[in-house]
Amino acid sequence: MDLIANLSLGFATALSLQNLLYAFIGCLLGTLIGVLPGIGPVATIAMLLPVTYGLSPTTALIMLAGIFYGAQYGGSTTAILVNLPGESSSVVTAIDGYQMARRGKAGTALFTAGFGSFFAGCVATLVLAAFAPALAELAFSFGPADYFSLMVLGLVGAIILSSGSILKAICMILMGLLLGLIGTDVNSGVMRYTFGIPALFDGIDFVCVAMGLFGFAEVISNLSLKDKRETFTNKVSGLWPSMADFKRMLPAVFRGTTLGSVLGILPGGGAVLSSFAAYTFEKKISKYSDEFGKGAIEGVAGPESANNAAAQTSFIPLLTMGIPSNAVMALMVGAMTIHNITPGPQVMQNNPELFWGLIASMWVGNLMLVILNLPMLGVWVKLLTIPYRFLYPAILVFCCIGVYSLNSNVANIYITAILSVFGYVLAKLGCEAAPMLLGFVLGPMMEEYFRRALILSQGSYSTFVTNPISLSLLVATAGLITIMAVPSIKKKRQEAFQED
Amino acid sequence: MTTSLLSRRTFTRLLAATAVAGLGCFGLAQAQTYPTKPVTLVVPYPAGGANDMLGRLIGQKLSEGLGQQFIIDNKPGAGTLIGATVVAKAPADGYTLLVGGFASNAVSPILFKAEYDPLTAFEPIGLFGTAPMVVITFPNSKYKTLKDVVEAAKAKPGEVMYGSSGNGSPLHLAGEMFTAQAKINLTHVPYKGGSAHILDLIGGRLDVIFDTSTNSTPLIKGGKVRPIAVSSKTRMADFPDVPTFAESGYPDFTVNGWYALYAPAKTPKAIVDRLSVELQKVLKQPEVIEKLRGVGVAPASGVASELAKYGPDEFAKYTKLIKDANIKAD
Repeated sequence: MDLIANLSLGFATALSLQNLLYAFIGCLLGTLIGVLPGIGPVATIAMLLPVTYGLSPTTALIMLAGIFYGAQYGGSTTAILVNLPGESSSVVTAIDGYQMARRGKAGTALFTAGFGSFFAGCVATLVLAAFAPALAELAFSFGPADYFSLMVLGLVGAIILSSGSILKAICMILMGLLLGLIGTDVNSGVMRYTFGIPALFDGIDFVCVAMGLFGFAEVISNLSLKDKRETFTNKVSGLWPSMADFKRMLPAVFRGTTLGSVLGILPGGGAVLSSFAAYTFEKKISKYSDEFGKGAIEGVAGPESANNAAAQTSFIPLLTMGIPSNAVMALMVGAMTIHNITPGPQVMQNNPELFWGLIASMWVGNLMLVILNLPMLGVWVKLLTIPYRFLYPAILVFCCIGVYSLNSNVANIYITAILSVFGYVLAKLGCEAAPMLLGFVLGPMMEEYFRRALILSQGSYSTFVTNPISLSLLVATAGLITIMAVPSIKKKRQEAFQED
Repeated sequence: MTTSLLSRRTFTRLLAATAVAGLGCFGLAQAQTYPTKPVTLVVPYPAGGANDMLGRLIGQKLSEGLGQQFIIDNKPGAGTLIGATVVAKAPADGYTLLVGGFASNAVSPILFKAEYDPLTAFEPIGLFGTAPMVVITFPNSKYKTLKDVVEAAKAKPGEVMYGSSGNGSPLHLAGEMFTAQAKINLTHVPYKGGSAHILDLIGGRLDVIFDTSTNSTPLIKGGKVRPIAVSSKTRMADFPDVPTFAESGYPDFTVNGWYALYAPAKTPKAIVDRLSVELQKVLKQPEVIEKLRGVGVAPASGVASELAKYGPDEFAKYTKLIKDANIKAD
């Protein structure tokens, strides 16, 4: 068996003392920057790139990869504990994870995130090892029309399955779309709503929106409660999930892993799409769909598994084609070229110890992360007992550092400040921020793909239905709307679930 | 122990401060000791791209040569304007430099309303590399030469698609210059940077991309895309079988990416000269030459006077092209 021979070569490489050490350093650093809101893996890897000059290319890549998936682990911690999604992929984790924490189940939520990530990491690593070349071809067959239809499905799903009023959800998504329009139009080069301010030419950064709407607004809301401050920190129950929790968690982890492994291969926001998709999917099929938004364990298990699986499989286009699918992968290309390795299909033949060593190290790294994180659960939960007068200023300072370091621009802090006031108003009006964020992320991408699909088809709208992938996605969307529109089906569904 | 250490440190600082204050009066003396503290190299791109990598390479080598740390500061955004503006407004003391080039010093100030004049806001230190454009297509496409592309475009105007990384990118301007010179009509499909345009090319949805050699070299070596022409004056060492634009019948096609080091205007000449001399030394190191070539960049001389002519020439060329083709910003 080739695969076994290759994997044993990989493990022999990954388990050498030096590589183990650097994998550990990478994972540790990644967890730390993941926990700190706003400081992302891109900035960290960029800063550490010169340090790797002196290392062997395999060791360097193992460490940098460790930072990347370590950050995916750490990112969920702040999302769950203080409702601060530091990474776009942990936005949905914040929704139910934070509600779990409020109900005293912070430990369970953290465990679920860690376990889901570990399981997904293991499976995705195997997927990477076994099917990398075949999966890369899949990414090529995805054209602009298909992307557009995928996003339509995502947006419609978000409206239908949001927990509150549908009207509010639609309004919030439209609001997100409007915010997303700020910046330069890709096709014509026209400036939209930039008021001549250079910091707005490229649009508002996602992290600013997430920090403002979730983190800062949360802090303001809590401060305005005065004496009635939530005291959920005192009723932290057991750290470990019960058997019942496990039974609910496991299937969600399986589904999230599958979804994440597939969507991770797509370039541009695979991890984000996959966590949103996993959440929507869980909510759709869960027996406990009414619990979503109030602390459903599936709402943590699904997206967390999905984004970690996606983080792993996003290496596929890089390793097999030499095409980076996101900013972190672009940095990996940089790290390879520094060592005179041309990223692409030839890496597998010319540097097998690098290719398989990196893959094996991902499994080793995932194991390390679990060992690193599980004993820390208690420590993280203790963070919640820090008095707010210390916790809040600290959160605000870290957030400011985070948004500043996005591109070393003070304007980001002002933008976040303005958005946080806006987020506070929304919270007061009882509007959910998550659909808005989804609109903000997907809206501009949707427009881009829609217009590109039409340029490529010379203006023929039929491109969306003549394309088999696009067509099936649109049919699925139509199906969702039908379920939504026909109340009797919805009713029957609820009855069916009650009989279970 | 601690107290004596502290006071000694304060004393040294005082000494240093006096020394620096004294030196300020004498430009020459300042240049002889320059640099006395770390130098910031502003890269107007996010970390990870070709510009960032070249900036880090040159910065590291200048550190070794001048004995002070050269720190990379990534200030991306607004088509490099944000980073370039920071340097244009920085003190002209040689401690804030710009890793500039095609976008910051030629194209972006034409497309956007810049807060600086690219012709007067900077002191040229030296050009350190140029990256020719390579026309690429997917491996089994029907286009074998530039002539095939032109013929297809003449047969069906507007149906041959070329992708770019955005309006005003080198990829776009190269496409516009080619359509103007070949008198054909190609459809431009802009993308938001990244690599999505490459995926659509490999997937056969786009026909060609006029790509920079820094991007396309690894893809060509990996067999994922096929080169059909290069914009360098002579054939590229890596692809000896690929004809130049001139050989293909377009001798006036002159778009290429370029990378240069700039200081803010009015930086003392002695400091600029010191940096330029050091840059020239760096560019002669075999290791640097090899690393630049490895990413598809042809090393340049690093001579300041050469850049003083090259930059304005590029600015004039693209001002005309952008006006003729009616290109707007991205």
